[in-house]
Amino acid sequence: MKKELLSAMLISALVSPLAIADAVKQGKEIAWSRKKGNCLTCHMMDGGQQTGNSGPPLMAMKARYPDRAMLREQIWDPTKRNPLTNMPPFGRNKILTEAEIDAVVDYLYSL
Amino acid sequence: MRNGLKAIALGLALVAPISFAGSGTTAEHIEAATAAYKKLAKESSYQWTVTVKAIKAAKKALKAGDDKAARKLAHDAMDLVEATRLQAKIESETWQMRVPK
Amino acid sequence: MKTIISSVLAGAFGLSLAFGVSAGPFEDQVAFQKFYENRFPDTPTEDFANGVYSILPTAREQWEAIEEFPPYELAIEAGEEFYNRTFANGKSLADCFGADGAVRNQYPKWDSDRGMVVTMELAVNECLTANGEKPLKYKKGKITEVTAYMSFSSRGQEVEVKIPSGDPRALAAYENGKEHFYTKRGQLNFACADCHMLTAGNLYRADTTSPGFGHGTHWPVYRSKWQSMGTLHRRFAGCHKNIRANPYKAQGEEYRNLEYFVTYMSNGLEFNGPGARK
Repeated sequence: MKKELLSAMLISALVSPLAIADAVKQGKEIAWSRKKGNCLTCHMMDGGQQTGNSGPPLMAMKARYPDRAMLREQIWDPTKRNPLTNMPPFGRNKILTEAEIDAVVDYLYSL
Repeated sequence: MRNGLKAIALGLALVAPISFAGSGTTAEHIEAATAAYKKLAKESSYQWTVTVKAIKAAKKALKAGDDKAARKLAHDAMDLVEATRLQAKIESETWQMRVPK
Repeated sequence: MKTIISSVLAGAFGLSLAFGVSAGPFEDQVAFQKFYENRFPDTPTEDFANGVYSILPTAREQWEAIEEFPPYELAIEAGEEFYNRTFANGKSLADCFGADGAVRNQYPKWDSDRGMVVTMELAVNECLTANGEKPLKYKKGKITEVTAYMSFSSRGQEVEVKIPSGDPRALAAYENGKEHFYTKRGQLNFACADCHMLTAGNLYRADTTSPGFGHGTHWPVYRSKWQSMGTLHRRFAGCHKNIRANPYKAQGEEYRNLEYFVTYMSNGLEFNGPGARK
């Protein structure tokens, strides 16, 4: 009985970090995929090779965007903040799904 | 006669997006997305390749008997038409900001 | 005389202020070229005709080596042959464009009779059909050979596109092309200006985007990526597909007007086609 309880507690303690790690991994796949986020075309990030420099390097994202919603909004439609940006509005133009954007935000927050 | 047909076509184009949210067969949903796509093409020079792809994929899925996938793709196509329309509106207001003075 | 000009100018200026109208094509052109001169101060103005190589010294050497044995040479030869070929009616392209086809600097031009922009490719096909010959396809193949020959004959001519001030339809065509250049389109939301002006010279993956100043000068082009020759409108269509926008018809109104704007922006440079590009 005690053992079971312990393992249950262990599992619940482990699940959420695992789930986040999973989302980060998924987010990275989306961000790096040429057909999906294709972030490397413009951004230096996370040891990616042959990255572009048309956008700023992506690092210390949590420090740069303490408000997670702001970072999400920047991916969803960056033209709202700056109509002259060349960054695609991934949400407004349906390039990524809402769930995919969430995963990318999780990933960016890990950088 | 021709005008009559035109009026009917126009009526359909106007009605289609409204009835779209409701029930109807998947084929009708695909038809509505196609009509919306064509209507936008007439109104502006904006069109996205992905919209055509979604419509084609929807037709293919329907043929293959995958009603659920076909319906989702039809709705995707409709969303893409709406997003295109929004882009055209936003751009009509902002393109001049990019012209160097 | 001077006072007349300045009072006319002042009047025009006052008008544009009064109506909030943007500057005319010439003012656009000055501001456009100045933008690139400021962005790339090391590039001599005339060098913008060399596209991305005008701003990329590392790639330039390789390009110059390619130009020593140009990949478009065969196209020029085949084009010359086609140019001098006798039609069924006994005439040839030379009857339309002169002995060597050195007419590059006449295009794109405003045709006031028909109220439309006429490009060199379109003019070639109209000469063919007027003489009972079959027209050529507009993106690749024979058309690139003929225009390679004609462009080669025309090398060194100055770009001097004209927008006749007396015809408001010409200005409308120009404005249409201008709006196209600066308007974001496609699912990826890019305007020509985004890559070829605002971030011109930046890297997208491993590729540097070329300055828009000089875009109309060097066509047709042998492009390594294509492994073949292509026209400017072929390149337009490729760009549009990249940003997930439906491409327009080659030699349709949209692309002819875009060519009109883009080439007008390069007035003062030299025509130096055909070219070789990555």
